[in-house]
Amino acid sequence: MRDTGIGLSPEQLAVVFDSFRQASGETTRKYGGTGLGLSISKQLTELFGGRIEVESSPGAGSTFHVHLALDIVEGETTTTNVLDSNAVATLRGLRVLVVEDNALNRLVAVETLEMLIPEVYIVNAENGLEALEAVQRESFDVVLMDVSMPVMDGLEATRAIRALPPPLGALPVIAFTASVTKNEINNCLSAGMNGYIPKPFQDAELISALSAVVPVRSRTPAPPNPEVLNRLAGSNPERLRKYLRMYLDAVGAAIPKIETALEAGERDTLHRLVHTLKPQLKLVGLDETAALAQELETGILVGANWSSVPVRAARLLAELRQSITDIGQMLNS
Amino acid sequence: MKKNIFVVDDDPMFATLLADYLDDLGHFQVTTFGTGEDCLARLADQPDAIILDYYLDGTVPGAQNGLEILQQIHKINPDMKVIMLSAQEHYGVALRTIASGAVHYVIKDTASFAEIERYLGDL
Repeated sequence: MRDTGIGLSPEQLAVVFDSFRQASGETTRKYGGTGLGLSISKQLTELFGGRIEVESSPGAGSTFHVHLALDIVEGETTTTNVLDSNAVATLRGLRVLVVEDNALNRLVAVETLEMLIPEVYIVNAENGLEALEAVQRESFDVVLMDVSMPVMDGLEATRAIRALPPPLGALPVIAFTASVTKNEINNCLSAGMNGYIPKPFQDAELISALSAVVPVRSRTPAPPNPEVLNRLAGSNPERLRKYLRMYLDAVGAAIPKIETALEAGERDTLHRLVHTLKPQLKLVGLDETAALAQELETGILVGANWSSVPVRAARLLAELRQSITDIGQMLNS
Repeated sequence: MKKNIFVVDDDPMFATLLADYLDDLGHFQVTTFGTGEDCLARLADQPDAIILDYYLDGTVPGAQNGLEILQQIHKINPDMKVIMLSAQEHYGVALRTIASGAVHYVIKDTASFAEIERYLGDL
């Protein structure tokens, strides 16, 4: 990489990869930055078993060489950190409350959100109590909540938010946690949090967790439409009723199984149950619910998206129950 | 003479819809099975084609999946025409089933029935 910038003197070259060092104090004021970028680049390069070098002189720009010996991957590569541009687009103008006591973590969260989401609006809080005050003072779409904080921790703050009158009490809260043990995740979910993002996080994990909770608020799927089934039934009402009853049997049996598998964190069982639902949903014209099932299935299969599973599953269960009511009414009319 | 078709799917709704659809066409005799194991036990009946779901353990835990059943069918009768069904839209799954000897791969949705009818007509 070659730039045409201000270049570096031999003295500056000697320390350019050190942490918190910039060409001069003046540089920090003039150009901003923390002086961590090159230090991080060097550490990352070395973690890959490579090296980073720089050639430069004042006023003549700088050239950085990164040498990496990498294996060529055969077959499928993981895509967990590929950003979904549709998801990013739907988050435009998102109002986020970032609750984090550690200044560096707060900075990373804010800068990442600003970099990824167009027109994002961010307010910071340094502990749960400040967060509780903030959500009552102004409107947010989502809260990113650290778990361990002084004054009031994230779990207590979430429980307090859940106790607020609706719609405030339903505000999506995503845990921002350094430990992602099953215990910790259960604590977060049982406190009423909707998902979690591990620290340090990848951009895709942040976007995936946010889009899992945010569109849910405005979701109003179309009711079942038996048109396709009716056509398949040859417009024979008795046959249509038979198919609709089979839907009720299948989905009625699946709901408690999905609940059990979700509670026990049984990924494979949950996957099979959700997978089997998709054609049934499409056959009764619940295309949006089928699409939700597909998103949930993807979340279950891709480990990094597990944080999106509980919210989507809860939404799916609600829509399945609604479909049972709707189709039950069709059968009775 | 009606063609003898086996449908193997653990989802009774889809299996019934498909069986009814094929029955209505008038030239197919359809038998449905909830598991691949049940289908294997009746392979001696010499079906003309088998329509086999990919995931067969959605409601029957521990049942063998469609790919395993496909391989066993072909061990017994290497010429058996098997159309694979799946709610799966992944290219890799389709590729694996075709590589394992399925003649077609059909995604389970509202358009599957006409598609299967077309494939059965070609066989």
